[in-house]
Amino acid sequence: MSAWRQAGLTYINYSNIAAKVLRRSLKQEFRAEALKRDESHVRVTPWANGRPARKLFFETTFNTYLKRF
Amino acid sequence: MTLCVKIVINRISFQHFHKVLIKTNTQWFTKAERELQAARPFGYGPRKFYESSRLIKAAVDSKDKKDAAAVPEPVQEKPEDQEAQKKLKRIYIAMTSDRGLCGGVHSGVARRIRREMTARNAEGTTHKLVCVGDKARALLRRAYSTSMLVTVKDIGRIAPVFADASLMATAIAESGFTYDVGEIYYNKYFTAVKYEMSIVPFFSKIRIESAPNMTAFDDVDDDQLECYAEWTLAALLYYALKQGAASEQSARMAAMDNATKNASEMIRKLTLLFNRTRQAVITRELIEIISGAAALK
Repeated sequence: MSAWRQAGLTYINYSNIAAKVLRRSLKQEFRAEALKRDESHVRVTPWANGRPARKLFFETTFNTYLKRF
Repeated sequence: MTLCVKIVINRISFQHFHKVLIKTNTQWFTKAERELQAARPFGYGPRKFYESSRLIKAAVDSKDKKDAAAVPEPVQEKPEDQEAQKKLKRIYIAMTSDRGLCGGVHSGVARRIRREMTARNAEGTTHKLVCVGDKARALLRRAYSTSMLVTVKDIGRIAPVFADASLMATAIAESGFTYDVGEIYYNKYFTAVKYEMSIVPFFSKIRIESAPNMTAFDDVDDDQLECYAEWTLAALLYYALKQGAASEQSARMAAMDNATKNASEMIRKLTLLFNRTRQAVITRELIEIISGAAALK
């Protein structure tokens, strides 16, 4: 098992972190454009028993790993 | 007559507003189309893999129009698989957006999902629904609230990025529902005047592992398949997001165009009516003056 999976990352997290690092390493003229793609503006709401449930969980797991870098 | 004037002025300013909207929409549309070009490989890659691993039947070029929007079903090797097919746990993903005024784009997706879920006798425990965009939620909430797994908001205001698709894929994975197969219902963009509702499937890691032609690929281990299954969902969601955005913008432009034409037509008719009424009033007053003068003589 890869080190990152043992640490609790999924492949999607792994891939997004690598993309973030790559965007940060771009030259000045391309950086601003690329950094706009770093952030997600959608809001996800899980549902349970036919009603929207509390939504805190997903954003923290996905964005926690992303924001550490 | 004053009411007539007000209506005419309203329609004219509405038409001007529409022209501004059309210009903005055109910019959004060209941007959406451009970004779709870059996103196409995200859809073709998985499809090629599905066909070569025989997870789905390869598309045959048939003249029969009915096959065009057929749901790609997993390949059935044995007859007893027919029964197993009915017991598969499925996810339906409706790819729409939050904004309207775009023709039949959202209702087409919702209608197709309703049809498939009814045909398969979907119940809340084995068939789950993911609504991307408020329009899908509004259209499907009443009938399928027990099947709702995740809803996604704030789609359609800005161009979608891969981070959006990643977030959605993570949400589906973390919802705790272990699915076998899933389908994404989206509008596929062809040209500025043509889009079509299409369906793309995705599979869980266990289904990919047991694909009929999996032995054709060598040196594939468990961890890689896990990564692939996770990533394919995000990639297909991204592909569907981009396709949906381009289709929606083209449909919106067509709808705006029709609305402007209708407004122009209405302005023309109302202006004619306005002028005729004005002239009739003047003529009537003239007649009254002349007959009054004639009576006095």
